[in-house]
Amino acid sequence: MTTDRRERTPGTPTLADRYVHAATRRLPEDQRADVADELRGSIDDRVEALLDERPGLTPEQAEYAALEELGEPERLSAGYSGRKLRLIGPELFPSYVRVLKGTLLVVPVVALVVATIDALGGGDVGSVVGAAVWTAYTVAVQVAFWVTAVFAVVERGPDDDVRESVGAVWTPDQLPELSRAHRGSVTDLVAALVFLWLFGAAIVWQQLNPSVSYDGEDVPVLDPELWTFWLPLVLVLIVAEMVFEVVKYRAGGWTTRLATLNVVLGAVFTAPVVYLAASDRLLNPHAVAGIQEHWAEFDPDVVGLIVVLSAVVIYVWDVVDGWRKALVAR
Amino acid sequence: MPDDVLAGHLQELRRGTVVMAALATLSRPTYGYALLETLADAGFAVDANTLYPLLRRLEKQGLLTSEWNTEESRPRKFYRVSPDGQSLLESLLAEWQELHASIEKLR
Repeated sequence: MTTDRRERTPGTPTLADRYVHAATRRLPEDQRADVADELRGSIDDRVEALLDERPGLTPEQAEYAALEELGEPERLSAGYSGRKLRLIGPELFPSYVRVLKGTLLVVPVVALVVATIDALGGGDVGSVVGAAVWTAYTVAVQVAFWVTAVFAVVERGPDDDVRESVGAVWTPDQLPELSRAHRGSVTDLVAALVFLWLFGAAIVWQQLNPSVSYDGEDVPVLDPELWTFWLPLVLVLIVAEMVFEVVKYRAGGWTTRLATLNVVLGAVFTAPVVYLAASDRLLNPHAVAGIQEHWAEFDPDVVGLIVVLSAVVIYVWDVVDGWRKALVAR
Repeated sequence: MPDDVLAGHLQELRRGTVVMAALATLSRPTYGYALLETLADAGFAVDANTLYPLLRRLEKQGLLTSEWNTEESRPRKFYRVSPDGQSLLESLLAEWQELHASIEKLR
């Protein structure tokens, strides 16, 4: 039984017609008709063979089965044209990942800058966090998109010079430094930096956006007198703690030297806080009075005690944790 | 050894021999689907969507010549190995023998 599908009425394209069209439409003009005719014939050959092998099949079922065997027309088309069926191939992939990681490092920096500007401009906590998250998301998406787009273009350009310039050609010079290969935990670093940043931002924010009303005006919670020396010192120490966290990360985690440094730095950080809280100089007297207007039992001494205890507990825990990890890591 | 491991390695080994098998078969003019059947019967299971573009590529490289035959019920493109293709086949077969000898020596 022979069915020549070419003799079908032109008005009703069969699945095979659609298949041949899909598989050949992206081929160069001069090859298209020839490849289409041959592919058409091969499909018809297969349909005929299937009808012989399995007499129960209708011609439509045989055609369906033949096309299913042949698979995705895009793949066939790529086979004919030599086109690559991938966005970024295995040659470029390692340098793609390397560049992507490198450029994504700008995300936290940009987010931090935007959040800081927003905080200094008088944004509330919600707006600062929102700005940081939204900026981080937008920048990350943009960076990932453009890096991917550039690599996808390079993947399609066979020019060796271009590939070399994006690092697709690996040389031993690109080996990472050993100390960098054994970095500390990124999670620890990010958590510490975010915590420190929030701490610093809260100090600045409570001054810029006074939240306690007293005597008809809004006053900051911390004593504004402290800005002459103590609060700037705390902010400087926060920055020092951030630097410490980065150094620790780059060193690959805790070492005994870092643990020792941590004892000193932690003491310098904790001492002013404990001193101010213990000597009752931390809170703004106007804010205390303002709070007591609504909540008579509010006792600044209790707040001072809580701050002292928290600061000491955090300090001791941090010192012990640092030493424990440094000794385990040895 | 699990069967799928063996099958995987055999398939990998045979993949490189499809060009040889096709060039050898095409000493007689043959069209795409018939070549596919011949190769399958000889144990070279190659997918149609791999073989058809491969024939075009070999033709482009001057290793095959082709001709449309319109005398049959349906027009078919017949491929045949060219002198270049024949000498490539000889080179590949010589390499094949050499590889076999080398492996035997390594054992």
